[in-house]
Amino acid sequence: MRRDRRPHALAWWLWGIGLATAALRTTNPILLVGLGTIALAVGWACRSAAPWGHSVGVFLRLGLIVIALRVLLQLIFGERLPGHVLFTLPSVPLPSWAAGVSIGGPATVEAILTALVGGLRLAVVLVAFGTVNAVASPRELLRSLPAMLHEVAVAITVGFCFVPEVMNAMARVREARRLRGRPTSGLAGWRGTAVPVLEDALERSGQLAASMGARGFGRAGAPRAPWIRRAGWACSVGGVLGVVVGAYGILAGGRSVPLPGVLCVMGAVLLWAGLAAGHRRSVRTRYRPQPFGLRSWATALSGWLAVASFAIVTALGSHAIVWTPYPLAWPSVPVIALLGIILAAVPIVLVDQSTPTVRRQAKARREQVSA
Amino acid sequence: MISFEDVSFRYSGSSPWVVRHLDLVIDEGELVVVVGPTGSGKSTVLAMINGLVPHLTGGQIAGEILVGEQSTLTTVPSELASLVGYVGQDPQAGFVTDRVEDEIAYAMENLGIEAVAMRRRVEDALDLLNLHDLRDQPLTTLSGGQQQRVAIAAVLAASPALLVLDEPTSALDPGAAEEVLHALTRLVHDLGMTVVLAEHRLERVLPFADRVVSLSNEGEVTVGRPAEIMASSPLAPPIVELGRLAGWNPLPISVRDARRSAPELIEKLRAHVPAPPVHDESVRRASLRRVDVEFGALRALDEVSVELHEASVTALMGRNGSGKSTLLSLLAGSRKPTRGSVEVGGREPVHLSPDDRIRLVGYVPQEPGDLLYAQSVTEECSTADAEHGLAPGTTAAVVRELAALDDTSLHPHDLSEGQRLSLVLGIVLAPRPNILLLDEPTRGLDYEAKRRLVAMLRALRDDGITIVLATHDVELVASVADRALVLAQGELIADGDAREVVSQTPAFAPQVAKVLQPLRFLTVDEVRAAL
Amino acid sequence: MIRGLRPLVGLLGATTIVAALPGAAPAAAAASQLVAVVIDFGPGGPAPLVKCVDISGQGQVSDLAVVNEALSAAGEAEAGLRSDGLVCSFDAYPGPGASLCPSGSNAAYWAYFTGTANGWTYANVGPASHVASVQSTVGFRYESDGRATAPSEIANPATQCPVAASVTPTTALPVAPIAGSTTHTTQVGGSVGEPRALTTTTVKSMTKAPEKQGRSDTAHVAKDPTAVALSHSSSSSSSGSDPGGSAVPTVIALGAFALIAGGTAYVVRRRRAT
Repeated sequence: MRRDRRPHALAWWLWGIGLATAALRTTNPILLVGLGTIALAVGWACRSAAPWGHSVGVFLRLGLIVIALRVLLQLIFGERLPGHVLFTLPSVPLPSWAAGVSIGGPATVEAILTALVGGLRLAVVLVAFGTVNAVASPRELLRSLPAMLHEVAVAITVGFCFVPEVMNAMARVREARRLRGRPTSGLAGWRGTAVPVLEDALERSGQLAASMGARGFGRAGAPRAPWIRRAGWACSVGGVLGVVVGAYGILAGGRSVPLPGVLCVMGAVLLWAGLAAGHRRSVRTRYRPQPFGLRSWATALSGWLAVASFAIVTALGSHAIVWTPYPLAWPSVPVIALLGIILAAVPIVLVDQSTPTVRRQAKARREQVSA
Repeated sequence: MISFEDVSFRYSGSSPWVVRHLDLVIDEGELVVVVGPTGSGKSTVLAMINGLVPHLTGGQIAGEILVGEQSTLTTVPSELASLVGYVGQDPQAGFVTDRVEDEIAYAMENLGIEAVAMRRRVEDALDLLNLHDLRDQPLTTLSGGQQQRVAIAAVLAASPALLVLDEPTSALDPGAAEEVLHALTRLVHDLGMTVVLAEHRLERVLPFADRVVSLSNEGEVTVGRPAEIMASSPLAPPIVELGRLAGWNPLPISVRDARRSAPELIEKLRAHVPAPPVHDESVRRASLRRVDVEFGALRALDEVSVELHEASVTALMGRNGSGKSTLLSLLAGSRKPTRGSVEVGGREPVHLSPDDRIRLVGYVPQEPGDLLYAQSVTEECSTADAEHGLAPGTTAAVVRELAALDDTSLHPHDLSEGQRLSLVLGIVLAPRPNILLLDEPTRGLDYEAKRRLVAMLRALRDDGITIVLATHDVELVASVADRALVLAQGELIADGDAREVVSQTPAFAPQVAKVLQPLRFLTVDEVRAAL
Repeated sequence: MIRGLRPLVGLLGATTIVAALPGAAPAAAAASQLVAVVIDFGPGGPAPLVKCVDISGQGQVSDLAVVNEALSAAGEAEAGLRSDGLVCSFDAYPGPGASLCPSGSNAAYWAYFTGTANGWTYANVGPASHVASVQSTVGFRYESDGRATAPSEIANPATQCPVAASVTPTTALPVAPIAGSTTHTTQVGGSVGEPRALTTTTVKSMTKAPEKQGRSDTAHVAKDPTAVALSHSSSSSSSGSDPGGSAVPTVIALGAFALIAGGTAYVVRRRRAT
């Protein structure tokens, strides 16, 4: 698919956030499973051929581990939730000062379900994140940021590169050491691995700086007047404070949403003004920028349809969204919610991430293997 | 275009001067090659043109450097970026973006070139360096040679008036290196670009050079036409050495020049063609039988069967990505074959314990520095003794034999490439393994260091050690290898006497062989011995 | 630049909408909200008092406030509390005010339970710090020998009050039921030396109840600091008006997801093959 027809990286991230929000707003296991399935399906269909396309699998495994851990911890350490007892673990009586903790005891279906649903929510969030990573890597997102955030974006991008580079270097060095018969584990092993890797990292960062500088990074236009710059600083600081306080107000619960919300928005506006003021007029242009077109809007909104459908269902009076194991019954699945979740898979039909080159190569490889 | 006036530089008050009182003028539209032994300051001089020295590296600098009327001492590298394009030694470390296309466009984005022009120039750069198939690829999946080409393309796309390249063909096989150099020459001739490059493998570059700048370790600088410089330079490619030996005047710079003066020499040598050496097909040390290695859908090795004997030097040749490193890793025991069997000293290397393995197989990776982590050479040697269970001082003795190291308190990363390689060789050879594996050992070595390496390898072979070399360097193969294996796309397409294999294919022929066709002389030493 | 900011604006807008969503929910709750109160005076006392209290329009009230409302509506004396907030008497039983409080020689006390569809569960926070949840039951039983037995009269305490028409969950994000329900194992015959659950905790109850309750000192024994919000939604949702009970919607939903997965596989294969 041509690059400028693909959904914008930001659209993908909005989609992912929408899916994660939906997962956090429901405790209905069927809806959660649906969200997870859709996220995986989209990830599988739309992932890029690049190495980070594997992040769907990585995060799926992580999610499954989270679920398993949750259930395990609930069985061993969790509060004894009453209900239909499946089996009983040996319980360890604890002294009275540890009255808040219980070990072992009867394992009930309700307890397991509670833990399962808790883990499932987190797993869906992880899978959504993994999908978004596979489809639109954070670096693509950073590239699309407005010019005034360019230096920040570059710093973050370079930071992103650091970890895979270090992992590559570690693998190489460990392999070399193993072949040399040197220990690769234990303190000596770590020291022997860490030193070359860190030296390598230091050198690479110097070379990266040289390469970027040599290609014109940091070319500044005319700086602005001092008073503009100072005002810009003040705005930025005030803006950051406003955003942080507002976000805290929103997230900390409570009924007064409008005030923190307004604070948040005002803070964001101030921050933007501050950045605009402080930013030197740069001459940077963009190569093949991705427009935020119809496809992008469609992708971004489809992620939020699930949230909207949950709200509708709740407003209509059904309790299906907030299912609990008490009383133990099959969860009900409202059609509207189901529809909302299924529509989150819209990007599958919108997007074809494979490029002509990749398809040609895949075909050639297949022919080579079969020949 | 570029002028250095009385330039002196050192990294800090206490370190020695890297260049002293350097005076140099480079005109527009020239292709200049900077030569010199390792440690003579070639990279520093190149980085000075760009302003990276002193702005990025720090240090004390004296004198004046003017690049296109701008002084690099007062202009930062990013301001010079529209004028000068710079490609460093390690292209992979310099990548900023994810994909090939974006990397090529990066410099132009910074310079504020408009989108339409950017697209056109990206296409031109892809054309010039033959990178069409790779345009959407993520950079991490490219091979070393492809990465080097992308780095050059990234700098070319911005159309600077001056191009500075530090060892641009080090990771490329001979075919790709030729392509790149042809492309650069075309740019110089058609667009009037000025190109300054530093290179160890002079045989590739000299035919294209307009002028040569020779730096010596003592800080002396000589500038002149290639033939003049080569007449007195200690470092010279095989053709020049042959010319010196045969007394040709003017000294030939390219194979074509040499062939014009060659007929006389050919007649003289016709009667003295060296006989092919007899191989002692005795003890078998290692073997691979019908080995397949697959990485997912990619087949790295396809039905490869090889036998290695004692006291032999086997060269593994082939384009980048043909499976050389994979084969070495099978022998070293870091990989299991998907099908087939690998046997070293009667056992499978994968299942050997580390102690057994180091006494059986010694492996020197492409990046020798990966194995070094101590703070000084002496510490490295003593740690090696301790870990391998050798008597203290063994490793140090071996290293002393191999490397010309005077100061053993130096940090290993401060050593030159050749010295580092010798140090690692010493560490690997101290437990006296039967088999030695070397992955691209001559990368970054100058001719002097290569000569020393060749002598070392010959001595080891005479001691009875089996040596396997994976290399592009045809000259190395011609000087030291008994046997050559050629891999292409994972298949073994040639396996035989090194001399035969190497002189059969034009792409793999050493310069001397190309000149003295149809006689089979491969190195200058053979010619010297015959005369 | 403005074009590039459009999606950022969209992001901000979306965040605000999300944050505002929970606020919308309470506005929808218009029907009456009933909490049942059961006071079992034990084997030696008067007949149990069962009453439904409508707490709509009062915001968040504590269980203690609800009980006091029930008592005053029945013309009885309200809860008598000790100085540290411990409930000593309801309706002047066993003695007026705080005259007969549990002490070393007197092990009898008022045991406090929360009722759900599953039965009674022994609460582990005090009634003054436990927010009353709609359609739950607050239960007290006076035990003379210091053990905690659930109020005996009621089998299914959750059905004490008529079910209201449309009751929406009254908390914001229904995060609660998952993080750990407040229902605890009933300590049948457990070792209850001290009536730990009744020591009241720092007050979070915002009510219009009389001054007697709402003392805010003393040690805090709550197992779960989020217990306040938790029981709220758990009980409210447990007795919801869902018809959910059959596996059919589940099967249909899972079938739909499987279909989508299959469809995706088909699409992927077709694309990769061309």
